[in-house]
Amino acid sequence: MNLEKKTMGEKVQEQRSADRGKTIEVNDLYVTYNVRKKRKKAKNQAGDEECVHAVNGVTMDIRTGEILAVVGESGCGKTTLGKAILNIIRSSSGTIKYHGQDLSKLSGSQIQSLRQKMQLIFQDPYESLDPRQSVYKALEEPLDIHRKDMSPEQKKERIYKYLEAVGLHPAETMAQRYPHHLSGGQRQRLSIAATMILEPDFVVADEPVSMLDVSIRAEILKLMLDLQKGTDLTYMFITHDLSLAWLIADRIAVFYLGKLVEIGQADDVVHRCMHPYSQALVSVIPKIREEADEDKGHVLRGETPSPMSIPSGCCFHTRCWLYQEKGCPEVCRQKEPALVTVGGDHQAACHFAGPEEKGGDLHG
Amino acid sequence: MSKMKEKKRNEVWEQMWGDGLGRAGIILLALILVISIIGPILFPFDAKDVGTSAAQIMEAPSAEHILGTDEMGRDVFRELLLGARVSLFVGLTATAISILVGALVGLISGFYSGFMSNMLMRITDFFIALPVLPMIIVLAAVFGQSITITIAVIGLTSWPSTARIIRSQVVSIRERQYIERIRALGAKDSRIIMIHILPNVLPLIYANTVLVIAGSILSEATLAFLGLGDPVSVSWGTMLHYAFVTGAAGRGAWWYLVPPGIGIVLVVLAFTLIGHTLDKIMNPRLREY
Amino acid sequence: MNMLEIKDLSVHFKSRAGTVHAVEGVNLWLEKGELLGVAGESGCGKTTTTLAIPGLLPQNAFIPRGQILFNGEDLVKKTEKEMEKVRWKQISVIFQGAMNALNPLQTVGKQMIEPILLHEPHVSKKEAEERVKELLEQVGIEKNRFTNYPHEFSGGMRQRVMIAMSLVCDPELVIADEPVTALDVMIQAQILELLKKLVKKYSLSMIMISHDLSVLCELCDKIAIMYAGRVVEYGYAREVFTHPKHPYTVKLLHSLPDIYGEKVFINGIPGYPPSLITPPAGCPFCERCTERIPECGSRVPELVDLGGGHYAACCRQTEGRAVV
Repeated sequence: MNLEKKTMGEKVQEQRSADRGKTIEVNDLYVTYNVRKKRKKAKNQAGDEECVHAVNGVTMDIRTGEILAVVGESGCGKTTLGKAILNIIRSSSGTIKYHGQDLSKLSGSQIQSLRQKMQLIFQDPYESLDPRQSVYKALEEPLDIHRKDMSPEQKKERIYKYLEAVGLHPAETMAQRYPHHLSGGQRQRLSIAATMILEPDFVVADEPVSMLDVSIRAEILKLMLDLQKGTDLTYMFITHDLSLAWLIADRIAVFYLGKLVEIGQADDVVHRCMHPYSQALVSVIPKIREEADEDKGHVLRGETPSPMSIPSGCCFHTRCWLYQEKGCPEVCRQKEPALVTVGGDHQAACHFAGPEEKGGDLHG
Repeated sequence: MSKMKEKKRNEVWEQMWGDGLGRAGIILLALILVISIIGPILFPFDAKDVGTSAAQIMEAPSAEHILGTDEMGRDVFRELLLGARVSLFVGLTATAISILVGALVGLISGFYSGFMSNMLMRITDFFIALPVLPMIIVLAAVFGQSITITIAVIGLTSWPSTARIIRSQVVSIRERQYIERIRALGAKDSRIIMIHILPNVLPLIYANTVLVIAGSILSEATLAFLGLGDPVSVSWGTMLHYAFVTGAAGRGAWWYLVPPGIGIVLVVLAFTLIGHTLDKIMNPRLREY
Repeated sequence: MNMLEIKDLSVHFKSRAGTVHAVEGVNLWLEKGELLGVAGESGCGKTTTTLAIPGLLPQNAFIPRGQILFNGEDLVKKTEKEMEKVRWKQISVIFQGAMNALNPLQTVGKQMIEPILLHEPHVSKKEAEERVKELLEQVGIEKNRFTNYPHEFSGGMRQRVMIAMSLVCDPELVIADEPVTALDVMIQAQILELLKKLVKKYSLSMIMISHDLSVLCELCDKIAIMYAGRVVEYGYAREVFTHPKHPYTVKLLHSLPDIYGEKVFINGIPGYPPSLITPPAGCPFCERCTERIPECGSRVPELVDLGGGHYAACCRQTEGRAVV
C-alpha cells in the first residue's frame, strides 16, 4: 500500500508493504480491576462485585514498522491497553503475543529480557524524570539494568550517541545537567532517548506531546518519525487528538469504554468513518480555515458512562445518534456488535456498518 | 556531575546562613562543639582536685572555681565541660539508632503495600504507645543502669516518629510517574528504593535527624535527672539529678543548678533552630520537584 | 464607544531573579456583545492581561503604566473596595480548573447564592435560590443538584457549575480562562456549544483565553494573538485564521494538523520564547522569525491597522513589505 506523506513541504513517498509481519497480536483481552471498599469487595444491590472494566475483549494486531494510533476519550482504556501489552499491568484474560510468542507463557526472567524490546514513553515530561538524576545517569540506568555486558566506555559512547540523536547537544554539556535545567521539549527528548537507548522494536507512546506547547510538538513528532526510519520500530501512539492521529499514523484504532469500535487506515477512519462514535469525534474537530457549519454535526449528549457499569448490548447505544435516528432498535440494546469488515483494512463494530460495496447506512 | 552536587550543597549552606534563626543555630552549635571538644583538654578534670574540707562543699563561685563546687567539692565548671561531651555523645548515638531503624521501617513500609507494610505500621504503633519511663526502669532493673541502656532506650522509642514521616513521603514518591517509568524499564525493587526513592527522601531525613538529636539530648537529660541514667558518667542531666538530690535548691546553690540547665537548653535550642531551618529549606525543594 | 479598552497596559512581577515583564504595552478592545479570543502559548501573558481587568493579579504584580477602560472608567485607578463592586456584578470570571476554584466544603448552591446576596442585598434568599436553580437548568444541570458538593460532579459538570456561577449576578463581561482545557473532546464541544448559547441568550460580551487555537476558531468573533507579553496580531477571527499577517501567527497555524486540508506535516517553531526578565531590544519574535529584516532587532513594532479591522505588530508590515 502506498502512503504519501509530505514532510516539511517535500514530497516523500514511502512504500510500506502491508505484510512485514506482526509485532503484537492481542486476542480477546480483558483487563478488569476490582474495587475494594472497606476491605470487602464492594457489592451493589444485585450482589455482584463492583469492577472497573478497563479493557473489554479487545482483539487487534499491531503490524511491524507501522504507527498505530489508539484514539479515544478518558476512560476508554487506551492507556490500560498499552500497559497491559507491555506487561506493566496484569491482564485478566486473553492473550498477548509478541512476534508470535505468547507473553503469558514466558518466565519472569524471559519477560525481564523482553523489556528491552518493549518500551513506554510517558506523557508528562515534568513528572517522568527523577529530579535527582542527571541526564547522564538517566540514560545510563536502562543500560545498567539490561546491558550489564557493556563496559563503562561502551555505555558512555552509546549515551552520547543517543543524546546527539535526540538533539540534545552538545552531549558533554547536556549530560551534566539535571531535569530542572531543561525545558519541556528537552525533557521529552530525554525521555525518548532513555526509551530508545535500549533499541526496542516496539514503543508505546502515551500522549507524548499533549503537554507540550503547540510549536514544540512538531519537532518531537519528527524526532519520533526519524528514529523509525530504516528500522523495524513499531509505535503504538496513544492520543485523544484525532487530527494528530490522522497526521502521523498509518492506521487508527478508535476505542470506547474499553472496546475497539473502529480500526483502519488513517484516511479511512477519519474521512470515511463507519462507526457513529468515530463520526461524532470527527464532527467536533474544529474547522480552522473554513466557515463552520451552523449544524454542528454530532455533538453527543451526556457523558461517557462509568467503566463500572457498561451499558448492555452495544456499549455506545446510550449516546448513539444513529440509535436515536433508527428509532431505538432492540438489536443495539441486546447484542454486542462484532467487528465487521467494511472494506479492505477497515473494520467497524456497529450493527449498521457494512462493506462499502453495499453502501453503508451511515453516509447518506 | 559532582560540580552540580557541590553547587546544591553550597546553596543549602547559603540559605542556612542567610536565615537569621539558622545562622544563630549554627553559631550556637559551633560554640558548643568547640567547648565540648577543647574545653576538657584546656581544663582537665582531675579527680585529685576534689576538695577535702567541708568548706569546699557547695562553695559559691570564686576565682579558683569559676562556677563554684558541687556537693563533693568538685569543680562545677570542669564537670560542665565533661558533661557536654556525654550529653552530646548519648544524644548523637541514640539518634543514629533512631534514624537507622526509622528510615528502614519507613522506606520498607512505605514502598510495599499489603501485609508487610501493615505489620510494620502496627509494630510502629506499638512502639509509639510504649511508655519510655516504665520501660527504662524495667530495663535498668534487669540489665543495670548504664549509658548503653540509656542510648538503647532512647533510640528504640524515638524511631517511630521518623518512620511515620519517612513513610508518608515514600508513599507519595512511589506514586510518581518517574517511579512508574523506572519500573516499566524493568528495575528491581532494591534499585528503585536505593537509587530513586532514598535520594529523594534524604533531605527529609536530614532535617528530621537534627530534630531527633535535639529530642534525644533532652530525653537523656530527663532520664538522668530522674536518676535512671548511668550513675558513673557525668552528663548534664546527671548533674541536675545530684544537684536536686543533695539539696542544692534549698541551699541556694544556683551555680550548680543553673549552668547544666542552661547548657541543655542551649544545645537543644541550637539543634532545633538548625533542624527547623533545614526543614524550611528542604521542603520547598521537595515541593519543587 | 467600546465596552472595554485596554490601552498600553504593562504588568510586571517582582521576583527574586528580577522584574518579570509579563505584559508589555498591550492594546486590546472589545465592543458590547462581542466574543474576543486571546490566544498564545505558555508564558505569553494572556492570563495576566485578562486577569488584570477584574484586578485579580497576585500580590507581587504591579501595573507601571496603562489604562483599562471599562465603559469609560479606568479600572486600574480604582481602589480595592471599588473593584469589589465591579467584580461579579459587571465582570465575572470562569476559572480554569473548576475543582480548584470551588470550595469543596460548601454545597454548590450555597457558593452560587453568595455573590447574589453580596451584591444585591435587597434580594431575599429564596429569590436568590430560584435564580440559581434557573441558571443551573440553563447550563444543563438538574435543579435538585443545588445541594450537591463539588466532588459529586464530574469534570464536565463542574465546569458547567463554574459557568453558571459566573452568570449569577448578570454581568456584562465574562472572562473565561481556558474553560475547556483538560476536558475530553466531546465535553469540550458540549461546553463550547453551551457558551455560544449563553452568550446569545444573555447578550454577554466574553473574553476567552486559550492556548489551543482550534478551540477559539469557531466561537470567537475577534481574536488576539499574544507572544512574550505583547499583542502581535488582532482582528476578526475568520480573517486572522485565513489570512494571518504576523509571522508568528502564520507559524502557529501551521502547527495545527487540519483534517480538512492537505496531509502536510506540521511545522514547529524552533527556539524558545525570549526572557521576560531581560526582554530583547527589538521585536520579541525576532530571534525565531524566518522573515526578519535588520530593523526587527532594534525596533519594537507597534500594532498597525492594516485595514478591515485587522492589526499586526510586525516591522515588515509597517515598512510596506508585507509577509503574507
